[in-house]
Amino acid sequence: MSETAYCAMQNLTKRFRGVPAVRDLWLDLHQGERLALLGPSGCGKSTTLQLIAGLLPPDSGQIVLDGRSLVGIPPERRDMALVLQKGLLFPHLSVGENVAFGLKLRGVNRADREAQALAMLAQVQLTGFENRRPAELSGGQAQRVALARSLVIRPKLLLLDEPLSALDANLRGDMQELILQLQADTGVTLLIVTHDQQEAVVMADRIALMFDGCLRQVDTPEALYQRPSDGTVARFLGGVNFFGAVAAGNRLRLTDGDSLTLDSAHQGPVQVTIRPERVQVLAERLCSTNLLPVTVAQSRFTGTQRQLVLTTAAGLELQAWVPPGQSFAVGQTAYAHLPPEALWCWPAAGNASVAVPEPELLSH
Amino acid sequence: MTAVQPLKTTAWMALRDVPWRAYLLVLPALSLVAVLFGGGLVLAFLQSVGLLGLTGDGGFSLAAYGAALGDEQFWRSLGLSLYIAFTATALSTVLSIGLAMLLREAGRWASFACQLTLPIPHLVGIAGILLLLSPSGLISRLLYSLGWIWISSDQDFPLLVNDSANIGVMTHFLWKEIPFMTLILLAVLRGIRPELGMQARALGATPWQCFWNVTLPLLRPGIVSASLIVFGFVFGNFEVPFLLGSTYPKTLPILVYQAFTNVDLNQRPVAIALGLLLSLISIALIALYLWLGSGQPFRRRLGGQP
Repeated sequence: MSETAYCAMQNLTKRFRGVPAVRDLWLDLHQGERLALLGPSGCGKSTTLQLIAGLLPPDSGQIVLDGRSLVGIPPERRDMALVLQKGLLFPHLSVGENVAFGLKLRGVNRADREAQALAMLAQVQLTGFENRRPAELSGGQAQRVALARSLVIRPKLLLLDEPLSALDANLRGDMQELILQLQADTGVTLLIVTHDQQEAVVMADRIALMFDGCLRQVDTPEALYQRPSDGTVARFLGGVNFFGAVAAGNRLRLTDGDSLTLDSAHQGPVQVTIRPERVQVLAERLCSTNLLPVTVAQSRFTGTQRQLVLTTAAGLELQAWVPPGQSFAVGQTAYAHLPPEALWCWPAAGNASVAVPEPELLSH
Repeated sequence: MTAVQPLKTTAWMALRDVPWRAYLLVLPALSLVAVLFGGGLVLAFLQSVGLLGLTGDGGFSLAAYGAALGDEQFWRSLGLSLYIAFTATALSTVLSIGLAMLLREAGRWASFACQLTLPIPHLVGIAGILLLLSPSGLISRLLYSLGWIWISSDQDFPLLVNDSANIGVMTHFLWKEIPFMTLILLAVLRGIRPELGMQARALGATPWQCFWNVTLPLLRPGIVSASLIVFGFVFGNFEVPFLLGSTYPKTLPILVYQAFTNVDLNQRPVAIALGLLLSLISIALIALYLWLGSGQPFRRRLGGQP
């Protein structure tokens, strides 16, 4: 992996008054990749971004971008661009001057930088806005200007710090589309910091999950959801079904007595999980493997799905998110089917009850 | 659905739809100013054109203005006043911006320190400058007692008060105005989001470019108003150049004072004409400065389309 790394963070550590904010961070980005740095508030992801941008000096470690070490290189000579939350525009400059700002600093002559700024504004669908003042823009427009301002200088690395968290849900979807489109058009390498797992999943090729200043898992969104490295990761990504079990090869015996089949082999005490949306709820016994008789304890309609809480005869509680068309009455008996390929487990640690950070935004 | 109760119309609410309501509301305060200040101006103007006064035949005449403008001393004094006002304002502006930038990260004590000179009367400051800088002042004595060879008597100390370059006057104004301007600029600086500087750096600005392209333009409203106050004050100030300034030429306010207190009452209209000219020049300069300082004349549109 490291031989193809375009941007490499090596052993980065940053402390504030002795308290580590980022600990021994190793992370590689490939050219043209979209990587999301995901984690709860205060996990050190914004600090990491500022270390990369050169706005903070690391206590130790280094960053290499395109074969060049950035140790001691000030932010203005790092060939990066940063977009902050709320699209911080310069209030004394017009929209066009804001976009042309980076070009002006690089000594591009007026005619050229204005032409490039106008072209870039057209790319973010803001043609005709060049003479507006930032105060006259909506939040989404300001954020698009900020994007244009960053992309017009053709950075090697585009850093986005919670770029969409100040926008409302509908606008956020449009902006995600626009950013993906712009990234595809320009091929810029993108690092996006977010606390919203939905956003990370939609925006990124890979997600680096960070807790307490440490990277916990770096993987594709699919892998993170289906194969979390531990319970903390699974819970942060909305995992709700966790059971203690003892594995013997492909067989799994849950602590309450039920037994399940896995599609991989394990040995000894494990934690097993299944995503609630992967649990199938059947009214009748339609297959034989991994079928648990359950009673519907709770049924909640959320608009796009029905969230069921099921209990087995042995008292095991299981959540299943099923399509909204499927209807179940509370108290009804049914069968929960846990497909072997949807089950995932990891060795149970002695007392692995690590404090689980609550995701700030639950998936809708 | 409940019906919305029509609110009782009061005289106050009737005013709500009057387009110039804001002006109507400041009318009481404005009329007080108009009577006391404007009335004084009118009376002064009438005296200066001979329509009202102790002497003369009571007929309209611009003779006083002719006498004022025809006197070479007026032009020398105007030049000196402008020199002092511009130099003192420019120096205190530049130094205050530097000081404010240095104190930007400092705590509340910085603002407090800047307020220390505010309540000290100008006369006390002037006395201090005289005690420090005059040929027999503290600095001169200190240098002498230190045995600096070029000071063998008070005659060798350079003339820093009542000198032709008005160094004493400048020193006093800088001492008084730099803390005042720094205080204002610090307040404006604290209102500028520090993330803007971060954002500029992340877009490729060196610290100097960041100051020049972001901080300074955002400081501009504060700089304009603070320097305007300083300029208006210094230009019209009387006691500082009177006590510390050059003996010849004298600044305009001193000229007005001398003409006004002249035993020859025929000089009175000239004194008033001079005073009115001083106000006119001041107002014109301030208006010009405000227009330039708004940035409006330099703002241009992109794309070439109207």
